[in-house]
Amino acid sequence: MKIENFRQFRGIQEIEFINPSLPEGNVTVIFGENGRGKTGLFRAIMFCLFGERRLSQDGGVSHKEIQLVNTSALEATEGAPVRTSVDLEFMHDKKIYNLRRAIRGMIDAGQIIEEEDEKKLIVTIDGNSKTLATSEIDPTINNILDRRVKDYFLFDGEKIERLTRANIEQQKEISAGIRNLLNVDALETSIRIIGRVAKTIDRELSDSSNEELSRIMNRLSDNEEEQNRLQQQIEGLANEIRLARHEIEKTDNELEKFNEIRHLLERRKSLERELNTLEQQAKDFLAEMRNQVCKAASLIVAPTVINVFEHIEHQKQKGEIPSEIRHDLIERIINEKRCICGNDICEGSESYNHIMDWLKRTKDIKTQDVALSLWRHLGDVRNHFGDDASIVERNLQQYGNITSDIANINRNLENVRNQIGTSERQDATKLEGHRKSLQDNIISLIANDRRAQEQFEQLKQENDRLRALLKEEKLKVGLNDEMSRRSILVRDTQDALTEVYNQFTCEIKKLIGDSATQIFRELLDKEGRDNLRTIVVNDDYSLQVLDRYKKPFLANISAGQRQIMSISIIAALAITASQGKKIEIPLFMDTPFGRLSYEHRQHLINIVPTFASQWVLLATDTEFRRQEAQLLKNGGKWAKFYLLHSTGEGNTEIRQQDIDSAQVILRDEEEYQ
Amino acid sequence: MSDDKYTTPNVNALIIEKLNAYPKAVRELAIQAIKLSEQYSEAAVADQLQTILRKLAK
Repeated sequence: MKIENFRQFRGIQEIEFINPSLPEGNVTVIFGENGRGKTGLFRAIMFCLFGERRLSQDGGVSHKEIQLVNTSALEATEGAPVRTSVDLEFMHDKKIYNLRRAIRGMIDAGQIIEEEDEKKLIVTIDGNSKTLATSEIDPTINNILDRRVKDYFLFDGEKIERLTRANIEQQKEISAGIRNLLNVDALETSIRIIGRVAKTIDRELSDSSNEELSRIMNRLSDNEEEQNRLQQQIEGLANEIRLARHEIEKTDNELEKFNEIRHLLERRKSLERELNTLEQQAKDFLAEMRNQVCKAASLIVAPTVINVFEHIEHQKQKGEIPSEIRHDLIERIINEKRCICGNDICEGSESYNHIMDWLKRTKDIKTQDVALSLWRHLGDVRNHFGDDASIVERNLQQYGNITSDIANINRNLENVRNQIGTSERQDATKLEGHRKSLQDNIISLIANDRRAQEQFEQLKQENDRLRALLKEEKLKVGLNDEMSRRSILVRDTQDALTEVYNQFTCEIKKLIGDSATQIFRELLDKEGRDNLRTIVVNDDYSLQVLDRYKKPFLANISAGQRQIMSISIIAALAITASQGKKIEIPLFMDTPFGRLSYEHRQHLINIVPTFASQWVLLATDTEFRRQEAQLLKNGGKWAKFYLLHSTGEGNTEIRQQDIDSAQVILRDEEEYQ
Repeated sequence: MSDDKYTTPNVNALIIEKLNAYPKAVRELAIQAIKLSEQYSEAAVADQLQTILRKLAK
């Protein structure tokens, strides 16, 4: 990359990311203090590729407020225009691309104005070069890398931090990331438009057709409106719950300033953690017991089953089922009044009476077969009763134990809360009171949310039923009716698109979770790996880490592990953005070491170069020291080392350094203490 | 580490693949709705879809 008068970089300066004498080297370290322009180099690449000035870390700052032209160059020319350019040479799919983007900056009436100056792309294949038309440049670049996902190749400290906390920022980041990756705007828009078209056609159909059809369509329309209202209510409640929890966190931080109640706060934190775990266990148990409703239901009829089985068993033992003498033979004997031995049988005689008894006791063949089949089946069922009863009893007992433990913890919590609330410090008491009202509010919000979700689910089921009914009515109106056919087709398409969207977002969340898990486990130290097993992206786009028992554990992981988790998620998004291939575009990581222990840093340094074609590490002196430099050197992938040196007046010079000089330039950990 | 260790499928192909499970007319209308939504305004797409619907429903 060659930059000219770009941001802090005055004049023409170059960075080469590869070292021809170390072809497998793919790590570049750019070292400099804060404000020297480390992120500016990533910004230069994005500007050159896409004409973009803003990065996601700029937040609400507008495009026009980001100045690209070097200020001191402008001042030196005393008002004459200054050219600012970025030239990028890169390889993709065996082609070499030489891209230039330039602007012209000048001072006009005290304002800095920047205008587009040049845009040029030369593509070389097998030594043959071609200059593309200006109109072809942006589509060509977008085909290589979609601009929507460009931000996933810069891992900055803020992005990493945003993902470490289970809050609305985390969910927004993940949700936005996944939506950008999926490119679902078109899919979401098409679902919305198809819905509109469906409503228009149904309105026309309703105006022109029978009463029953109109009634169903009106009802469906009212329900759909109510569903939308409930959906918004549910989202609003989720947001309120999140804010209340965030407020509780802030209150807890305030309370920790009171030394005299710190032990109580620790005790409360421990009890609340325990309570969360138990409540989750209780929830899991309830879900498990719901799955075993069949077992429990069968136990209700157990006495009847056993009675019937024993009755048939008794008849079997008496020789009545199957009967020792066939029923039809006995009937024949009675009708012919002659025994099988040939003797006559007179009505009213002893023999005749015996035979009549047999007749009463025996059943016809069909009934006997049914009875025997029933006996066998009931025998199988009866065999399970013992086990089923044990399982149900055990679950009920365990559930009972858990609810009892929960009740105990709640009592202890109440005690601790009262003690905090009645401490001699009035401000602590006030804070505790505020905390309690926030918690009561959360309980009430959760109850409202549950009610709204139940109503939503009921409406959904009713709507499914109404749609099926509507389809039947439309078919009754007549397949020859073109409007009915259009109505059916558009509704079917709406359902299809919605189903595809839901399936798709589910699958991509799982893909990202799986990819993140793979990276996560490679980055963790041994203890982390033993305990932490999986990263999951939840339905609401929040993150969760499961432990070895597949239980949620995010609340208990350390700050360093959280950082590893968020790096893993961002890497997974970047890998998915590269459509599963090795990440071609250089991965920029801005001060990723932050809170990481030495072993985690080691893993990061070893693993990132394996899934990224190039790794550009932007580092400051506090986190890139001799130890990290040695680790990189040992890995054999460190290709280039640049120092961003301040030359005064806000300008920076890019100075290439020999990698071996890192041991001289950098400091040891002890030198910071 | 092998290159395909972190392989994930092409996300764009998944949508079309899933739509293959639906009847021809539904699939066609769905694909047209997505493609048109990428290029035109909502009102324009709605109009074009009505025309496509009439053809498919015949």
